Amino acid sequence: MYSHGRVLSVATSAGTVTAVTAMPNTGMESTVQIAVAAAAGLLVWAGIYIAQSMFSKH
Amino acid sequence: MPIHTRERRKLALIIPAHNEQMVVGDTIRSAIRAGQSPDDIYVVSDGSTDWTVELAYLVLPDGHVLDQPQMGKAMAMANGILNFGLVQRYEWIHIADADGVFADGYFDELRRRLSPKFVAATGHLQSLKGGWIAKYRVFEYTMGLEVMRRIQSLLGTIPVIPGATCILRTDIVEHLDFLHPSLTEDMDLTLQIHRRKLGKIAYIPQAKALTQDPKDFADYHRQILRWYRGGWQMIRRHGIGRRAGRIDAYMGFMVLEEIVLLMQVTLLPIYCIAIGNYVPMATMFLVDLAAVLGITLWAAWLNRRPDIIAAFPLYYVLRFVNLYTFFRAWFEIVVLRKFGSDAPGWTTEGRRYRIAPEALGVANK
Repeated sequence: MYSHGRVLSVATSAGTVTAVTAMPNTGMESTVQIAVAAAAGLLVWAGIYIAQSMFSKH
Repeated sequence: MPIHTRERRKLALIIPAHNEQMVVGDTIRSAIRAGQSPDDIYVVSDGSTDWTVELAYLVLPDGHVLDQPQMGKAMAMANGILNFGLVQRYEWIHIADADGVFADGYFDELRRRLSPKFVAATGHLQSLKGGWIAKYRVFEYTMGLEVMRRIQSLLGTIPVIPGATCILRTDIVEHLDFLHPSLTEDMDLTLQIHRRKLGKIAYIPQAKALTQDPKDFADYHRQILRWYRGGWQMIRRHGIGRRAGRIDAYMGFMVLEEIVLLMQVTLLPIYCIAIGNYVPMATMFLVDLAAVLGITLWAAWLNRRPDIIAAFPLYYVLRFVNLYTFFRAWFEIVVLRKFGSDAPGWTTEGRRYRIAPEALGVANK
C-alpha cells in the first residue's frame, strides 16, 4: 500500500533469529548492554535535534 | 491495442484542483519548465471558492480550465478528460496533484519512454525539502521506490500509481470507473487496471516528480489515516486476497510486514519478560537499528540530502505512528465497516503552503 518504510520486518526478524541462534552464551549480556546504550543514544540524539529545531525557530 | 492516429498528440497533463491558489500557479509553471507545452496542460477546478481558476488562466490558454461544482477528485478527472476531449486528442494522459513539482526534463523523459507495451506508468517521486516529516519521507521514498518499486515493476505488482505522477494510456480510460467514491482514488484506479487485466504498469525512474509533504505532525497523521483507510477500503472493494493473483500475493506480503512488525513490538517483549531473557528483544532492536540507519545513510547519499540524517531518531516515532494508524484503519474499515461511501470532499483543503524557492532547488538536481 502506501507504507514504504517498513518493508523490513520480515528481514529483520529472520536476521534476529539467525543472530540469536548463532550467538554464544557469553555474548548475551553484552548484547543487552549495547542495545540499552543504543536506545539511550537515540533518545539523547532526538532530544538534541528537537532542542536545536526549537532554538532555530526563535 | 492502442489506437494510433496521426492527429493525436503524445501527452496531456490534467490537474484536478480544489482551492489550490497557494500552489496551482507554481505547479503549472513547473510543468512548463519541465518540458510540457501550456497547450497540453488542463486544470479542472472542483468547486474552488478561491483564486484557483484565475491563477490557472494567468498561465494557460483560453478553454484549458474547467470550473465545475464540487464533485470530488475522481469526478474532476473524469469530467476533465471528457470535457477537453483528451481521449480523442492524445495518446497518454498524465494526472497530477496541484502541489506537484517536476524535475527538469520530466515530460521529455516521459514522451521518450512511454510505449504501447504498457497501459499505465508512474515516474519517480521525491520529497520537497522541509521539516522532520519531509526528511522521513525521503527515507520512505528511497526504500519504497528505489528498492520496492523496482521489484514491484519486475513482478508486475505495482499496487498504487501515486496521484502526483499517474500516466494512463487513453484507450484504457473507458474501462476505468471514476464514479465510485474512494478515499484513495489513485489506488482504486491502479487496482482496477490489475483486476480488469488491462495491461502492464511501467515504472519510469528517469522522470522525477516532487511532492509537498505535511508540514506538521497533525497533518501527517490525517494524511496517513486517509491513505490507510483508503488502502483497506480498496482491499475490500477489489477483493484483494480472495484470488490467486500476483497483486493479491504482493499486497498480502505488505500486510504480513505490518503484522510481523506489530509482533516485534508487542509479543516479543512479552515473551522476553516471561522467560526472563532479554537477548532476543535486544538483538531485534539492534538488527532493526542497523537496517534503518543503513537505509537512512544510503538515502542521504543517493538524494544528496545529508540533512535527513539529523532527524534519524524521530523516524522511529513515525514508524510506530504508522503502525498504529495502519491497524486502526483496519479496525475501522474491516471490522466496523465504516467509510462505505464518501462525500466528494478534498482532504488537501487547508493543508497547502507556498513551496519555498530553496525547496524547489532540489527539483533540478
